[in-house]
Amino acid sequence: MPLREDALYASYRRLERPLYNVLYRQLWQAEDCQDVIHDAYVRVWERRAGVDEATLDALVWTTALNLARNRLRWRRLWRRETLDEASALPQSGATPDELHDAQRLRAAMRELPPASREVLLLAEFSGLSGAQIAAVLGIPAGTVASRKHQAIARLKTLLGASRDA
Amino acid sequence: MRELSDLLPDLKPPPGGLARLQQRIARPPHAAHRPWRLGLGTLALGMLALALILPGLIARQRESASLRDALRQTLAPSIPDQGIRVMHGAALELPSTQPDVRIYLVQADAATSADSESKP
Repeated sequence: MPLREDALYASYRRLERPLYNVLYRQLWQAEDCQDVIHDAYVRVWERRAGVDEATLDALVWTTALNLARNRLRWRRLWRRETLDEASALPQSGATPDELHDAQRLRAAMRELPPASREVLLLAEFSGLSGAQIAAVLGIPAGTVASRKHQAIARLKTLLGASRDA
Repeated sequence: MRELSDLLPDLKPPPGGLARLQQRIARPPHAAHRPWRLGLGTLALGMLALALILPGLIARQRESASLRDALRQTLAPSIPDQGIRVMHGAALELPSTQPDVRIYLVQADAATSADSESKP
């Protein structure tokens, strides 16, 4: 049974926020995140004849992450830097210390290996289980756990180092 | 991890995403795949390929031209100056051990040498 339009929109409503949170911590640019989410759903819709609604969310995650990786490669190729940093900071009423901490965390996250960062963000924001993350990324479940562990350890080291500096 | 969840707040995506998707999905397929887009894309790709290849070709052409000039200069017979003119042949200056002595190897043209050989 081909994918129905209302099922696609329901998935969009369900995943827009987690997708945005995960993608934003990779692309650091709101407009790029919106475009990636939009493009991912359009691509899935274009292949709707072969899409099973039961695996729709996983397919959207996989497609969106692939598109985000392509954007990052494109940026590296053209050495394009993002300017949209302000919205990455805590929203209202943030103290200077909080702003500083957020900047430190962002810098540390950029230092993480992309594969580990992706696992960490999915674990933190996607609401997916370890097995689901493994399926989305096409890696063994054990690798998800080890990459997440490595990412957290590395992040702690980087944050400790920047605090001491 | 406390710091991660504290410092990375749950962000709200900008509004209008779903409406944009609905608009895109509702658009008839022929509007999304206009033939001129394919032509434009092909033209752009062609121009990109040209822009990538052309500078290399020009540089190679210049290199080969300068190499050809250098080779021509090296291989050209050294025509002696100081009032000596070589007609119907070529002369090559040979190294001399004495400063006031110049030695030339002179070779007549094929036609000239044939003429001189046929004459008694």
